[in-house]
Amino acid sequence: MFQMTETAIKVHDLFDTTLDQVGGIVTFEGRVRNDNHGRRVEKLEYEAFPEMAEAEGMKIIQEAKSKFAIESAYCVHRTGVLNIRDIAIWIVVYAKHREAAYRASEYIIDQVKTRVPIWKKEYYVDGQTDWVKCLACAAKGIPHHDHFHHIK
Amino acid sequence: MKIKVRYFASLREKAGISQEEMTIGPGMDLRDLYLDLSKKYDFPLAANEIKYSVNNEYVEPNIPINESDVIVFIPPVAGG
Repeated sequence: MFQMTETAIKVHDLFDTTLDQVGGIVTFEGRVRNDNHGRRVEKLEYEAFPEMAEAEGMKIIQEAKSKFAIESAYCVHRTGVLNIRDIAIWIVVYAKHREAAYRASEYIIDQVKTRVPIWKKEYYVDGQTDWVKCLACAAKGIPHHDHFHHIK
Repeated sequence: MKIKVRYFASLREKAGISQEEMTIGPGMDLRDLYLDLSKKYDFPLAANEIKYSVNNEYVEPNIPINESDVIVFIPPVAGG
């Protein structure tokens, strides 16, 4: 399942403890950090195209289930204003064995970053703001975002 | 034909509105529409920097527009 939420993500409420066949659980937690390429970040604002974000997110979860030997997967993404250390995205993957769970978790976060229509506005300590984008990655379909660009 | 355009993120801020209904002539594709609106609102992104959505599905920029379509221009996404 994939969900968007406007309220704080409470991780401990989200684990499924009913899966007797699961031997490996991998989680990924994406948090708001206080700096982006040397610019001091005060807070973030995530905006989504909600109907399409949920539909695209659900497709990604289904793809992960068909590509990897996992039992179940869940992803939740915040919208609205987030402060430093707040959880922006949380993923949990359940599998019989750990390798599939690790790979599925990475697949889900990579795909969310390139496909799900969610946008991030950074508010800097100096009072400026920027919408974050990564055209180079988007144009090439590169899933890994270890760098950022900005819309002036 | 009548269509609806919804705006998000940097495009919403530039347009100053979240959505609008408009009437367009026949033969216009999504890229043509974006270029027209980009001139009107001074959008910060070129046509090849965005993706296109019609009725909540990603589509190619050269598909024709149909009556009652809901169109969204998708700036580079930045979730996660």
